[in-house]
Amino acid sequence: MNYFLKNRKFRWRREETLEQMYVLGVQSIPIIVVSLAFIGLMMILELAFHMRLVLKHDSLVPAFSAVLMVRELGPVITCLLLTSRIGAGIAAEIGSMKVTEQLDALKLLSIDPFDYLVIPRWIGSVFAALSLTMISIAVALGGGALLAAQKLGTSSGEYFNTVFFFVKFPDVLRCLIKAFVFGTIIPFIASYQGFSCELGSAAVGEAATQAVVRASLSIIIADFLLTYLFYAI
Amino acid sequence: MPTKAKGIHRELWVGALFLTVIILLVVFGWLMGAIGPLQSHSRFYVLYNFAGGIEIGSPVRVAGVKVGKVSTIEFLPEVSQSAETSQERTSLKLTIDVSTKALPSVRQDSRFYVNMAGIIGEKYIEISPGTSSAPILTNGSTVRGVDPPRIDQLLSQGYGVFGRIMDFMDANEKTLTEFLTGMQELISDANTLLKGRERKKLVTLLDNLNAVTSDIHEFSLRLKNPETQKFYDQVFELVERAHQIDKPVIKQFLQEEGIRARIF
Amino acid sequence: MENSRKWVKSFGGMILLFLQCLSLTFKGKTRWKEVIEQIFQVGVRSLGMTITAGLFVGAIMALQIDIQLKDFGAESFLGGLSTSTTLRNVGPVLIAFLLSGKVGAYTSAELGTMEVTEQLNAIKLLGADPIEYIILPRIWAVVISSFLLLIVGLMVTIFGGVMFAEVIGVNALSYVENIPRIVTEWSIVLSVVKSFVFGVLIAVISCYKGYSARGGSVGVGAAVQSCAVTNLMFIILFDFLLSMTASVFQDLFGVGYL
Repeated sequence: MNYFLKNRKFRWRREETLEQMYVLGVQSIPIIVVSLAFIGLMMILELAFHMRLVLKHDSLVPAFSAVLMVRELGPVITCLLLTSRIGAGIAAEIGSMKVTEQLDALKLLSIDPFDYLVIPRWIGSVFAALSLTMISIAVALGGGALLAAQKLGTSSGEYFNTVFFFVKFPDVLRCLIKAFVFGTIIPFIASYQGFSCELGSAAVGEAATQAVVRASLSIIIADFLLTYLFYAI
Repeated sequence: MPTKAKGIHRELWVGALFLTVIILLVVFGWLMGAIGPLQSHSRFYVLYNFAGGIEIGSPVRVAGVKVGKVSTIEFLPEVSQSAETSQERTSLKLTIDVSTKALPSVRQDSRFYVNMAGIIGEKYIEISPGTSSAPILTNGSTVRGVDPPRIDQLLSQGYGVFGRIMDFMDANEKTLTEFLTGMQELISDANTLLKGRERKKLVTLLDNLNAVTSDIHEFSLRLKNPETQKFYDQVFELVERAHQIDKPVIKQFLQEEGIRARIF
Repeated sequence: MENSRKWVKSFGGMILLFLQCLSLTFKGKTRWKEVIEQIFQVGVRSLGMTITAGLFVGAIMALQIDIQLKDFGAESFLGGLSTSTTLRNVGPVLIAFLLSGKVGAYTSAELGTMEVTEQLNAIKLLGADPIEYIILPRIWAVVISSFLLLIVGLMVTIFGGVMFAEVIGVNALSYVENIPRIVTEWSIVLSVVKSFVFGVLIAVISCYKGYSARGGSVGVGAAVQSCAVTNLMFIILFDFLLSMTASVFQDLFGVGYL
């Protein structure tokens, strides 16, 4: 832990940052889009069931599912997917760099490993979290509109009308704040696991596992705290 | 590990993603009404005594079309309000923003109702379109809204009515009880009459009555024969003729007959 | 193109592995002692994490549904709705996400390490089948422990919801009394089925990914990563499919409604 707390000067490393933005952000798009489309569809299905149970009709289903998607599941599921995609990757990469003594080589070249490895990943991860969350919300709402038209028979105009009566713009901003926090949590926990990795390939696997688990759990807890902060106080 | 893409390719993709996100953000903001499209609003002040559940942000509709929203709700100190205008005292002042495209419909004789829509009871302000003869309501003017019916007051009035009925019942309890017991006695007497030893007499009475009515029935049936009809007609003719026999005729008859009698 | 070929290839590999394990099980070759040992290794160590996750997931859903129901003016349904949504979809998915990280990544890392350090080859040299000796007990251990952990986690979500309801000022008793109004036995059946399917998914995918790891510590790390991603994708896909099936059943036979 002491490793992180030392004073250090940060430098803008264009190549590394760009690489991370591309790897973490752009290459995650297909997975996120497919998963969130399915999640959006499933929420519509499930909430249609619940609304029929509670209110005996389903004109509010789109609104209810959209609110849940934007406020809660959009950022959380996106960032959990991102965690498993990039969290394990970062921990394994840094861990195997440590195992193969590349970190020591960096130090010999008087390049600060934290500066060189973590900061670009942090920027890339935050960028990925923010942009993928926006895309995921758009995809989930679009998928919801399709399924609502198919299954509930609401036209897309009607759908967006009810949705935007309940989903206000501050909700989107809060969702982006959540994404920023989650996007910060992932690389720091993952690279901490990577840096504190023991030697040997078993330890690399262990570090990757721990990175995924701790980051996911932290995201869920942070989500709870942020939701409570935003909406309940 | 993820494959490394080379050269300008990555920058293109990152830039495209960034642009997509910015566009999405703007689209969402526009759809959700945070970034209004560049249209101006007119501002009216509507006075109410009772707002019926209107909140800040509730929609404003003209003829059922959403054209704006309630931006603020103020409580008016009643004293100053009554002093400065001759209007009746109102306790609420709502500021509403109405988009300019709906302005031609909002005239001085428009009425501002508080309505409720949908299953969840979304409250909104409905502006009825005014007549074209009245001038258009100017920006910043203050109008008196139509207070929604106060369900709570109606309920409490209903309670009052029921309360009075209850009071009446309480005050006249004795009379009511006597009335009810009297009724009950009457009914029980009738019951004993019908069920007790008087029953046989009643039955014979009813039998006799039955015989009498059947006789009358037969009689009246006979009376309806064509022969009796003829008889009736003759009687009627007789009566008709007899009707003409008044005093002079009788006198004349008597004189003539008398003369004849004297002669005979 | 290369990527999608790899995906299809790994999908086929998973199905073959699963079928092979099933046939081995029906031949009675499962070493149950080993399975119990692995359940202890994999399952019991994840219990604390599952309970923490369950508590927070329950609390998040209670909080979020409470806020939303206030918007819609139907707060009286809080207990039932939040429990039902958590049990039927959000709970299984989120807890399975965490389990796939913990159990799945652990299994794939361990198997990957065995493969990379040539332990599996050593077993082959000894004339034994590594699938029968190493993979089969692990698959069953992961299926059983994931299933049990998911059930425990789901029960804990209810508890988390009740606790949080008390925090935000909803009477815990009325919250609990509200639950049977919405949660039917069919919802519980659905969530149990989902838990079991997710357990099988996590087991097969993690074992396959670990078994097919190649190339040193980098390979192990890559195996863990691709295992986590594949797990999540399949969990979401199967969650949707199961919900779809449930909704078809509900529409056709009218089950699930009160």
